[in-house]
Amino acid sequence: MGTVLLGILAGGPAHGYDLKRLHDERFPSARPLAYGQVYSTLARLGRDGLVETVETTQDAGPERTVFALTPEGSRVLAEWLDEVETPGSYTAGELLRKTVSALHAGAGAADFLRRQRAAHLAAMRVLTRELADAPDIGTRIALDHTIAHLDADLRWMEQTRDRVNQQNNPHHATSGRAPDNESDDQGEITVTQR
Amino acid sequence: MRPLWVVVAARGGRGRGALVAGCTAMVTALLLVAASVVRLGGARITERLLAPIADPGTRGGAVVAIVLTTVPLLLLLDQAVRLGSAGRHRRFVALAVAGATGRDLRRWSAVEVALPAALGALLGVPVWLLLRRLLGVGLAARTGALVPVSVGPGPWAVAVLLVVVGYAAWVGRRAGSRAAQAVAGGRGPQRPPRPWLALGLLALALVVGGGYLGDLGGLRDLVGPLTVLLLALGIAALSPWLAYVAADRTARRARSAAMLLATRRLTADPRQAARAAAAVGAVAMTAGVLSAFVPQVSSGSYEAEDYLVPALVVGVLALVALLTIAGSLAVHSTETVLERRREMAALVATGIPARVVSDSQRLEGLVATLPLALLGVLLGGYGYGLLVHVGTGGLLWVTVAVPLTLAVVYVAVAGSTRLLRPWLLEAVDGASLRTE
Amino acid sequence: MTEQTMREREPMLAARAVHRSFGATTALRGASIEIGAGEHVAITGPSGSGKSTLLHCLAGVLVPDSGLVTLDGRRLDELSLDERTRLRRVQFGLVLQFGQLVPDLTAAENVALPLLLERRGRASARAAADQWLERLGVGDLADQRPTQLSGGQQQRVAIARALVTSPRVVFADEPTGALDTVAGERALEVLVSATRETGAALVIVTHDNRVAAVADREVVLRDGSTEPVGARP
Repeated sequence: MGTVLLGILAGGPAHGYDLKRLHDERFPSARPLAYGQVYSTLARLGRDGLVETVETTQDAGPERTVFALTPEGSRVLAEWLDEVETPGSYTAGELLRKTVSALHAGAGAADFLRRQRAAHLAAMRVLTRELADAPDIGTRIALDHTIAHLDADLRWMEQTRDRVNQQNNPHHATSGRAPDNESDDQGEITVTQR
Repeated sequence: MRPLWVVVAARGGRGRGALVAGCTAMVTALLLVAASVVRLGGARITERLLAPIADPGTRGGAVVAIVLTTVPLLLLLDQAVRLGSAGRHRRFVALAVAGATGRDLRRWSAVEVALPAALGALLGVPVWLLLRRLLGVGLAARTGALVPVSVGPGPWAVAVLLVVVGYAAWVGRRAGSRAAQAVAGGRGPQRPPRPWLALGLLALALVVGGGYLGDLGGLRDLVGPLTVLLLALGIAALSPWLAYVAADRTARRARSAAMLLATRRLTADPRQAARAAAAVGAVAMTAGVLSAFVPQVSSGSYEAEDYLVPALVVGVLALVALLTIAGSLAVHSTETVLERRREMAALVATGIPARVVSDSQRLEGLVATLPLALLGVLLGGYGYGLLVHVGTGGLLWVTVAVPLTLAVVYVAVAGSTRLLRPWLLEAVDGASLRTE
Repeated sequence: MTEQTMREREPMLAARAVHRSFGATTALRGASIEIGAGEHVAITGPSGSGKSTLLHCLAGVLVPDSGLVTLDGRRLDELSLDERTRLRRVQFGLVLQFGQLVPDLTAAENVALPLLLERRGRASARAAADQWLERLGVGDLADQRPTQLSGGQQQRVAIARALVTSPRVVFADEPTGALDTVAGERALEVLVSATRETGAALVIVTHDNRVAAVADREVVLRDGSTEPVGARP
């Protein structure tokens, strides 16, 4: 949270409520910030010497403090941006567990994949419609992210299907152009016990 | 291992090579005949030759005429070289990727054409001997030989062979440079042709022709053929501009889809069609001259037979030339369709009937050739008619010949397009849309 | 629109048990599909599964070896060649991946072409073409040749040509395949919104899941046949 606020302050000094507004705009998929959280984070950052108050006006109204980045704050921000995020390990999620189990269960795997695909596609459909109506770039970026992950899941499911098919029928081409055999191949997948 | 250039040349394709060899053989033979005629010179002629060749006054014209008969063959040669350009493009791309430079590609392309051309040129000698037998010795007993038997081309033969092979190599090189450009990333929009060179040549022709009316003494004999030559060159140089302008003006007013496609195709690439159109113009000019010449010769003082037979021969040759040219035009436009079969198939898939595409080919040929045919027949007919004072009777014949010539050109162009329709239909079939 | 409601009404366009081969290759073996009026359907499947061939059979570009394709209940193979060509011109629109515009004609002339064949006057055809180009955001490119346009712009001209006769069905074969992400997104957006506006059905062939997601439903082709409908709505 602290570094995110530092990032926003990199655009120039801002009031507390500006920071909340800008945060919510940039990250529409996250929970909107509470003012209390903003000020407590700013206080902590101030204690650590990463932000400072540059102006405190007190007219006939509430106190308006303007916060700004200190050189130390800039350095900490730069360090954070320099670090590369560890690529997601994406270990066994429910989808992976269910897919693998279905494939080993034998008959019905094709049906499962079909239904799962339909569900994923339906979700993508909804998100794509939202994307078309997205009011700002922040929303679009967030939706793109989810859509890309759904797409990745779909492509992985297709690839898995091909791999299993290839293992079961090593002479069967996986690119869809089947040699002329009389099989009613509707895409049934069978997994032999190893 | 065979040297690379042999490998590349050998891939040229047998059909194409045969066509190139055939054309150059005929061209060589005709040029050898022309050279023989020239060598008749001032010496006394011992054999019985046809009047236009025997008479030194008209001999120059005869030589020009023989040389002009090579033009449709050269056109066919040009067209033969362009055949299979899609395959050649792919080959050249592969060669370029492997490291061939533009110069390499041009060189190989020149060799690819020069080899069969050299073979054809050598074959031209026996063909010339054959012509000598058929049209020389054979005709001498009856009306008078077309081909001199007593005199041969002599040392000129070597020059003829070199010129023919050199020309073929040049044509091949040009095709190679086009392909190299395409490989390098397309030519970009071509500049429209300009009329200045052509107009200059025509002006020169008029000046020289004007000499005919003056008194030049010994040079008089040269004036006629020189004028004709300059006129022919002038019209040939004018044809790309004429074709472009005719197509452009018609395109703006085009009301039907076929006309729009035809005229825009012409404005995008007028030069190939213009070359054929120029040849058609020359043929039409011949027709025009004949239409004035024949009545002139049949009336009274001339030995009609001496001149009518060659006139008939010329007429037949002109017709054959026209058919060859129309054929080469049709092959060219079909080649174009085959080169862009995907766009054409897509066009038909979106609901433009194949018939419309075929019609546009026909219109393309007509828009290119009819204006020049008109110009040619008018210049030839009225030009010659007025020059030799052929009289109102003769001019009447010319006036009849004009629409007749245009009609024959129409039939030739329309007919040859129709003949190639099966290839068109195959190219635009839905199966051409497949990418795999 | 669920599958059940679909089956209750007569589909506007349908293919039943279509087989089609090209020489030794069998592209379609018993593919079936139904498309209702105004529906947006995606045809998906691995490459080589016969998607484009199915599209071409539906659009009347190819005649199947066996099986039938019907429009409003009428069999397409019973139409004469001229009738089928006219059908494609007036009632169908086609957008391909690339290479579909005549390079010698300007954008406006390309779009006006089908109208000229419908005996619309030059001026009227040109006006309609300009209108559609404007609507698709490429109005200022009307007098340019296709070679002077970017891939995305060419696709929009192609879409304009497909829509200019107000067709009932627009067929699109990998319309974004040759385009970068942004251009592809925009072209797709334009295609979907224009067909929704005019109420035309849209049949898109694609291997991209994200393109498939813009349609109301998908039909999956594998090895030349359509997967049976088994999904719960």
